[in-house]
Amino acid sequence: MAILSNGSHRTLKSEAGENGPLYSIEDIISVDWVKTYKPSHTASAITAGFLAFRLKKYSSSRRTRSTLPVPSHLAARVCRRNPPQGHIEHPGFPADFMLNRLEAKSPTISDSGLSLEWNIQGQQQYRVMMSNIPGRFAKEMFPRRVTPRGAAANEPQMESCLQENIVSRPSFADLDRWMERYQQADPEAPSALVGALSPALLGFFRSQMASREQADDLLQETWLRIHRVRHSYRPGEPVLPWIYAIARRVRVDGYRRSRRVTLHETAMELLPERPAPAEARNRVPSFETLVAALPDAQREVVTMLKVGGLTLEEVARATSSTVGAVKQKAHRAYERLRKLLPIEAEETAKGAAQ
Amino acid sequence: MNCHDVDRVLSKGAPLPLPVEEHARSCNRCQQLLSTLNSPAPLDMPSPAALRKIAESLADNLRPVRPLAPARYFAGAFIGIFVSVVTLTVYRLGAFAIAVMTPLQTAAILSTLAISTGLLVYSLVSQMAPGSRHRFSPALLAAGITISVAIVMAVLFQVQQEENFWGNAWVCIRAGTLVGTLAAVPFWLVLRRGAMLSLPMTGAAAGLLSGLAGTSMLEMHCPNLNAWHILLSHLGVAILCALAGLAIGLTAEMRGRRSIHRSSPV
Repeated sequence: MAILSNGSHRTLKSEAGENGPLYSIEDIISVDWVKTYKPSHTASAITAGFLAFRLKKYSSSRRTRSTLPVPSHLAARVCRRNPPQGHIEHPGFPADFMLNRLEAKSPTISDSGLSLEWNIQGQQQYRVMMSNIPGRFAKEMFPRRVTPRGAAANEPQMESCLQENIVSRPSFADLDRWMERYQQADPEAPSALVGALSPALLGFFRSQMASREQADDLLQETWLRIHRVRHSYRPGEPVLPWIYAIARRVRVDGYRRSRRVTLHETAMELLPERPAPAEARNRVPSFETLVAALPDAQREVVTMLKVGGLTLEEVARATSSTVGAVKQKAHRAYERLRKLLPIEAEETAKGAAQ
Repeated sequence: MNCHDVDRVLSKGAPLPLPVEEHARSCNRCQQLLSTLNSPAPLDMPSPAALRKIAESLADNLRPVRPLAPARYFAGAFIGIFVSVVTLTVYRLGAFAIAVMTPLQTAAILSTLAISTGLLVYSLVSQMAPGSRHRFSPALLAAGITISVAIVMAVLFQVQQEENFWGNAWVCIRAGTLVGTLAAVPFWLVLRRGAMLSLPMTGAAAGLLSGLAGTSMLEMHCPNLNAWHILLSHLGVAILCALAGLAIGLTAEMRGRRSIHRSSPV
């Protein structure tokens, strides 16, 4: 297997000979769920859930070496094992990671896609699978087991979890197709879309300071509204900005409604003390804690970027603003977060000391 | 590479280049920031029962729908309506202003109105479909158009002494508003095919577009070239119609919110 440089982009070529399949990374289309596992060396500890993301369009202007241009719709499925101390990397990390190390490792290419596997520092094992046929590699590349080779095959729960999620949750690439089927009144489409998008939407609402109950209500209302305006989705357009634009509107309406209610409420008793935040133990403030201090607009942008996994362009579409405005908000948010960090660190250090 | 550069790279959304990683190794704050941002928020998984209930509820009411037509069709419809209304009314009332204005004034004011109309149509079409690309913020665009047209009018026309200023202004405002209302009805018929998320914003933009139809008609019809008259009674029509659209949008949104609030959950 070799990676050949071919003008503006590189191709992956099989060493099987001239008759071997030739793939261009540009042609590989797979937008899939990314699963990040936080196993504590047991099969039962698959608790991290799903992280949906789309790889950001990779700008090759800054790198000259080990660069593969990745289309904006390309994403990867990542199985990660044995992360140190339960630390989970940024959802966008695999993209960067893959780009950095694609040359270093030999990808396995089959008719339905390619897979990459490697180890980092002898502790973590990653496997990235990509396919030009959405949703197919799970069945064709790994017909019996979908867990990394020689890694977790003897962990039945992890395997079943993977299989279940691959089967029941459509990839982000599939969302376009499912939306079209939804418009055509395919009875399977609602469950597929609801299953695929609800975790991310719930995360979006939760990170916008909504309680679990409120988030559940907002989620229901979002789906109601999506159902009502499903004709306004244009086939071929990205689904995520369409969904998030509606979710954002529902959140704004929900916020206004709840504010009206809370204005007329009177506190009858003291609230119970909140448990110590988890980050007190870890010293690093959690994403939620840190982002909570941001103004609404900045928090929304950072949440969509980091939790929803949207690109700048998609966030701009979802918020009815421009890419420049989103960049500016994100920039200000990061500056503000940086200023907040020492305070947070001190507080968390105090919490840890107590 | 310093902390500011790291923020800049982060805000671009691109994968972190090596210099950033190197800087993060030596900078505690950056390291902590990256670590926090890179650790995803734990996602609460919705209960399967709730999801099933939502999916079943959606599937129960499922009927095929026709997707929204491409944006260019709607843009064509808006422009067609605008041009038709202005042409018909000017044809009916007479283009006296064209004969009085200099070619520069005519070209400048009509070009400004045409560009403003094009931008507003683009914005309206984008607002019809959630998640559309916006090259300009809709709110800023509406404000920007109003200010730009006002500046162009103030630069092109001079302040003159005018008898019966308010009487003339009222005549123009009445005629312009009538034309704006005439244009607003077909605009609304087109708009209702989409799914507007912010009704006040869309209402204001649609009102401004309708008002610009009235303003365009007045600019071609009214031979009064007094700058104050043009600003107050010609541009005033656009502003009035925009405010009316905003008010209608706000009312519609409040009614919609109440009806959603009353409706039972899934």
